[in-house]
Amino acid sequence: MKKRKNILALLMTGIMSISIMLTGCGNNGQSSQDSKEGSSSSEEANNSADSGSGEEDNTLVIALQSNSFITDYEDNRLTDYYEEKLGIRIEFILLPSDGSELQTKLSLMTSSGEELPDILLTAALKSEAILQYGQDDVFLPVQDYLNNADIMPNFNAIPDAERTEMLDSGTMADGNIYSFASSQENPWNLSPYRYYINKAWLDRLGLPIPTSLEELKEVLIAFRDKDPNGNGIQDEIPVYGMQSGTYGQNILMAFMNSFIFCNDPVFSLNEAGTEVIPVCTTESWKQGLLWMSELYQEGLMAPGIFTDDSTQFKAVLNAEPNVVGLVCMGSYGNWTDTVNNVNFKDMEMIEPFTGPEGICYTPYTQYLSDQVMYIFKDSDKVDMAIKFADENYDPHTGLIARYGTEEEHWTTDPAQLDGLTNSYIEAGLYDEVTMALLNNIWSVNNNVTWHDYAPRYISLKDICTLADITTGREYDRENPYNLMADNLKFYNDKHPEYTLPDLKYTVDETEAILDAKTNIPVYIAKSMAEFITGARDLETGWEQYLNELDSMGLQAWLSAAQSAYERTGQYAEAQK
Amino acid sequence: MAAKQEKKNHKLAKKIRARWQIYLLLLLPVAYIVVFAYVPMGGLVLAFKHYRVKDGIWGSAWVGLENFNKFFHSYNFGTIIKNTLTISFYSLIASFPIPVMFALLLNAMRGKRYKKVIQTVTYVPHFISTVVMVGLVFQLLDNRSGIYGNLYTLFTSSTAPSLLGVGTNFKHIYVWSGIWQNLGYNSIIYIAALTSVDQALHEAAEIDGASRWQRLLHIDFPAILPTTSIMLILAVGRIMNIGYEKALLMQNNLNLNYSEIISTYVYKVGLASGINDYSLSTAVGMFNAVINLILLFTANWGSKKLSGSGIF
Repeated sequence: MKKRKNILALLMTGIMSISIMLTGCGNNGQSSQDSKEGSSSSEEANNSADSGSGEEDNTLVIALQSNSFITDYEDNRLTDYYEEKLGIRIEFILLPSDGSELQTKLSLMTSSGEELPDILLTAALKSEAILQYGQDDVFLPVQDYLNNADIMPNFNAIPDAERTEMLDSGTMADGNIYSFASSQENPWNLSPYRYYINKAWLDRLGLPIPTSLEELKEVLIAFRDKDPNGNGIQDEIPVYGMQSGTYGQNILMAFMNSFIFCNDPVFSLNEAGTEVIPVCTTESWKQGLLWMSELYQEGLMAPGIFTDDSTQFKAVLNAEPNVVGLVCMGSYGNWTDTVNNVNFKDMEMIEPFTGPEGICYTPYTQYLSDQVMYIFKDSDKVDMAIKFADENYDPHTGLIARYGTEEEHWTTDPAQLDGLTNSYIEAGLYDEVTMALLNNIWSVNNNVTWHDYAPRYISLKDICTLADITTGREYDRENPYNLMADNLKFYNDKHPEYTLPDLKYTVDETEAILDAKTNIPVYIAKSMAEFITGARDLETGWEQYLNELDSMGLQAWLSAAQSAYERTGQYAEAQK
Repeated sequence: MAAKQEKKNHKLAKKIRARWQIYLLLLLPVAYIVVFAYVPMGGLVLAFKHYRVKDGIWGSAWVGLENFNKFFHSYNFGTIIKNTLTISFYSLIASFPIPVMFALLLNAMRGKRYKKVIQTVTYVPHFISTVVMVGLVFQLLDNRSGIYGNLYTLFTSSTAPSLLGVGTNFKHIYVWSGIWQNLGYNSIIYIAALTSVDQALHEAAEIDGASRWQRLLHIDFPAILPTTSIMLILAVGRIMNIGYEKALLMQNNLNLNYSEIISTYVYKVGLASGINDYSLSTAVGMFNAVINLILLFTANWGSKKLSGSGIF
């Protein structure tokens, strides 16, 4: 009896929930219809308002990748500047500052059918994602606007070579451009894998700066055994780095370039520049792994390279006393308060090492403008958005958006520039300073700019003839902020003639290689860690590694990469 | 049959009318479940489609079981399943009995104030957020700057081997940090059950000359057994839902072979990769849920057979 009652209760709850579900769904359908009707009627209302009173809605809704340095976007000098100059009102939707979180948020925004803003400002989207959103009718194709000098006069005033690069970098495999680019070529960012060696230790041990991997190994053994920091404990880390680092901290890639050139662990180009090769399967790659695993077995390489995140990375670099012998990174800001940092004073930037085969390269990426602004297709304020984009290409607006207020944060006043210099000028690359930074707002809290996310054009010359005279950054040979010229000398030409450019896959190619593209880079990073630490034996495990890569779709990806490469201008050039 | 059903419906309606206040109270939770648990289930249809934002959920093309196939044939399917099962069963086996034992021991303790202090101290870690928690674990276990590293250096005057860099350690660190965090909180329900044990039973046992241990075994333990079995079923029901945040945060290149689990994979494929495959992600999530459901029914059936009490 009791059992039957139970079953009945269960049944009833089931029926109840199903019926509620059904009515719920029904309601849903209806309400969405309602809202559609609502929106169409409001559109009508808008139209009639437009034709009637002539009073235009001048609000531009901007979804913006936020930055923690910016304290306020509403009460912000740059916002005021845009609003005044363009006669618009800006409304913000702030997106996460972290790139992958932003992508998550954007996928949720577009797939949940909520009302989208007019434009999106972010540097976080890769070309596959841009193409996907473009093909899904989320982003508006903008090439017709970009190529029309009447609509975008400022953009069309950019010198031809740079403008062509900006257009090319934004052109997707379907021939459309969905984005506005930001071009601020800076040689500092093209080769971020810069080695810093502990010069104080070298001097104490009476050793010269190593130039080859062989010499390096001897130096590292001395670092390990001879207690160069003099605290009586063997706590020295001869080689340190961070595999998960994205700005030159992954020292494994730097070492690998003494065996074979690669700026990406999956693909590279052959010598002639005609063929894409899977660099992670080459014999040289294996030799590189072998060499690194020997370092690891000898205790010269820290396990922290594979496990540490940026917090731990900084903690080790700034440890007291200094424990790091050799490290690699793009930004010396990892040493906190660099100018006064005692550990940083020990370090010296050196050239990349020559490998056993005489190879001496560094990961180098061709300059590519960033794609930073998108217009949503559903926006009814396209003209306003285009006007906003073009305004950003105005040279003066570009400086205000990047550096802050004129005369307060920067100046081009010749009287003030008199006598200033910088490392490029000292190195004889340029004649004179054209602009000076008076107050640095790049890495301090402010409400003067939006940090970096807007279309822009600043020429290479403008960047190299800038004198930074904010506190502690005046030019001086000993000043760590002036490694730029050394970087040019040591790193910028250490690469083969042809390097792999950014590849633009078609939608079909992207779909075919989607899994491979998500899984293979992770798998390679994981395998590097395993081979080097000895968790997996290089001799016995190599065949299996190659097989697994194939089973993950490496060959299909390779042929897609080859056909994508053959569509680039560089391929045509190499063919001649 | 129809007549019978109608009669029953009628009876129910009558019942509802008679006790409408109670049903009114029930309305809110039911609405909550429907809105947040049943309606989203409609989204599962994505698992059988090739979802494109442009076409919407209903407009996208049907692909049958292709997404499931893709997952079953992906290169790391075996690893992911193995890791998920290892971590879930390990954490169930290790973390289930400990709060029970802890509650029994705490109950047997004399000083009332002392008891309260211990209870509070042990349940506070539960309120630490996952991110902070993982940060704490990393700091403590760091082989250079952490407590572990420092103690090791103190006693052996050499640098400690890295614990976080060894893939096989992942599951132990994962499970035991979880136990440390949730021990106190999970034992609250047992402690509450123990306070309701009739003191007369204890007095009678004492008169009969039962030792502390015997009283614990024959009075306290049977008293919390029904609670325990229900908690066990609930735990089994949650078994495959290993918190993805914690695993994701603890992942590094050396433990990825041991730390990639279904939920982190779903997150990576579906949202974090930039080129999103919502359909595959949904299919994997659904697969997970189905296994979970099967386990839940099995546990409920087993519990009813063994102790006579289950949740349905």
